[in-house]
Amino acid sequence: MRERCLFCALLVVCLLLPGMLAAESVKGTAQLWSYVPLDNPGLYPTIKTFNQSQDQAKIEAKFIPFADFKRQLTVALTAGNAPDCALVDNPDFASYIDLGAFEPLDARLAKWSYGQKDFYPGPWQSSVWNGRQYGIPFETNTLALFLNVDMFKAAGLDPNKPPKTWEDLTAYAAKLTKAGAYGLSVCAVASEEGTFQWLPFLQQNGGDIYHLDSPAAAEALQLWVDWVKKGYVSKEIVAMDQWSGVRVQFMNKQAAMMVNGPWCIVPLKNDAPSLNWKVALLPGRKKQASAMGGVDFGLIKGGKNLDAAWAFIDWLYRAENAAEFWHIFGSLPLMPAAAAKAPYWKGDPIYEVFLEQMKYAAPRGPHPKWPRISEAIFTAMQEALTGMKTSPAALRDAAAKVKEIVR
Amino acid sequence: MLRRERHDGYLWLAPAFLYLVVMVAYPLAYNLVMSFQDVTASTLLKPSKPFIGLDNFAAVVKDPILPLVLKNSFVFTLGCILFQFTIGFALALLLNPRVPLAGFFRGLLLVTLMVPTVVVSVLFRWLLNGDIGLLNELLVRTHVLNRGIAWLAEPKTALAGVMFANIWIGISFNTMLLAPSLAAISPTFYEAASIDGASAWKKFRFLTLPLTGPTIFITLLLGFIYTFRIFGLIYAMTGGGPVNATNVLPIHAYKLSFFFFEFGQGAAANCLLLAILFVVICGYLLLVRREESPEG
Repeated sequence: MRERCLFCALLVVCLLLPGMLAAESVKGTAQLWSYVPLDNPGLYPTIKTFNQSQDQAKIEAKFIPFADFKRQLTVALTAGNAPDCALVDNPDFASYIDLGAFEPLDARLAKWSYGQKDFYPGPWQSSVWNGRQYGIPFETNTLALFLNVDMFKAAGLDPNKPPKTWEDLTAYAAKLTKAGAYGLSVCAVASEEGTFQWLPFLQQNGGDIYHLDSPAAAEALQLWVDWVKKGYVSKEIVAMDQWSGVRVQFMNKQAAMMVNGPWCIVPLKNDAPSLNWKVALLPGRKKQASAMGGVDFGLIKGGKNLDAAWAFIDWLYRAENAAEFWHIFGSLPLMPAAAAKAPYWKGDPIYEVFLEQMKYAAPRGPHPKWPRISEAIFTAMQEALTGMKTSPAALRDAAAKVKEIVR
Repeated sequence: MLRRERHDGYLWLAPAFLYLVVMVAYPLAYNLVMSFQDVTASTLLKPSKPFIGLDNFAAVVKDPILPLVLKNSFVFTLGCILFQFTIGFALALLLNPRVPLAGFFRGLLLVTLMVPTVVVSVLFRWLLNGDIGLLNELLVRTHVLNRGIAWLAEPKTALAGVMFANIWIGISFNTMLLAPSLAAISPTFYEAASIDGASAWKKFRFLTLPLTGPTIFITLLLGFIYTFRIFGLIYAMTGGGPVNATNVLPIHAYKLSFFFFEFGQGAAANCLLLAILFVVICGYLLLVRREESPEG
């Protein structure tokens, strides 16, 4: 009898304990989820400043690694414990709009001091669907060509005359390849990053994702295939991501050139101070084109403190806050006015190149089935680069898949 | 008096039973129900999802990469079991109690099971790297190869690369299960066999193997189930690539749900996984019964 009572008491305590220990939620606090690394110098200190500057709205930021982000957000949306707002990678934004996750912002935008005309057009478009606005561009970036100045000079090339055409790029890569170092490094992994890196080359040749079976597309893919075949680019690019693969290869002088983004600028300066490097525009062909990266901010439908979340955005985009935030965050400016007025970008040779490149940045989609379209593209890339299919055959299959997806 | 004791027994079982229901039975049932529904990005947040019968299963079966995925799953599983088991068995035979420090080495082997799978993935990703990997360095310097191979980047060698990592992990599991069974065989059997003039191979074939038979069966079965279900190791090493060269059924099911947002098809793929394992377990049970019935 005594054992029975003891057991029942134990059972009750065990079941109630988690509840008793759960933290109480604070009123007026909005939960923000993002994959911005915890050591990013911009986001978390800025949120802290916002929280301390007033006491009506508080933002609580949670970090989820990029690879898990989509899954965790989707799971949270189903389970009903989604945050109030989230920073979502711009090509995925449309699929979440389709999921019904985001709150339309038309009413809030009508009262806002900024609007579409104040932003660069590319970033703004990624959060529009069916004529309604569901998000605000939060961070943007693009891809440019990084060059190792010392390796250029050692190969007899002038670092002030970067390659301007595909033929130039290939010729330079050939000259720069030697034992222990490749001429060029790009990323062709089986994820969004691979599509992100190759799409500019497709677009430079006048191609687009709805005509992957065109000769222009086959030419753009064959360019990469030839680089790998001739050994100017490592075979490992199908397994190397932009951050821990391509950037590290460039940093260790195992690649003389790389295609990468502004998130490399501060880390290269800090981790490889003796590396002598500069940036140039990506080469053009029929036209100039580059990728448009970055995240959009969205308010989640049903969130309990959407006003607190919006208060943060309102505060952040005020002229005095926004430019400084983008600079320390590592983003390029989202508003032409900020780019012109703030002291950070004008006059800095590296950022000037990136800002020039931004003019040619094209978004991916937006399309709610973008992940499937992206998969068709990077699968074709991998099939051609590993020699499993020829470039035209791989792209023909990709085009058939895309046709099926967008039907 | 007896009745009260029996009721007490059920009460003590209750938490474990509750755990099983919540963590095993409920997800299985939910998965089964979901495999018959149309659950995609657009219907995920709706309160009731349309019933579409066997459409998800049809879609999974008609998927052009399913044959490759199944082939990868079976090649990976059977290949790993073959090497893990033979090497593990050999090590269990070698590290018998008569060998000095045998216990110490067997314990050391267990490190492979204790290291988190993701750590193993990263470790082998760098060991097998085509440009700067240690394995290539060794093979080229000993003149086994002229140039390094990009193990995980070439579709032809990627599966071998991930198998290499998994075999490394699994050897100690087999050793751990087989060693006690080997130690339990009374040495008098071997002495009698020696007196009869049996060679080492005859001793192994007619004494060791039959006497450890049941343990071998269960080791192979557990190995098959565990290896067939593998997800983390391969996902962290190659993500299922390049070009689906290392895509196995659990990864395929995961991608269907969380990459393409086709949750119904992902659930159906999981049901397929469950069905295959169920067949294997039934096969095992049949074999075991046939083994035991002559004596019974």
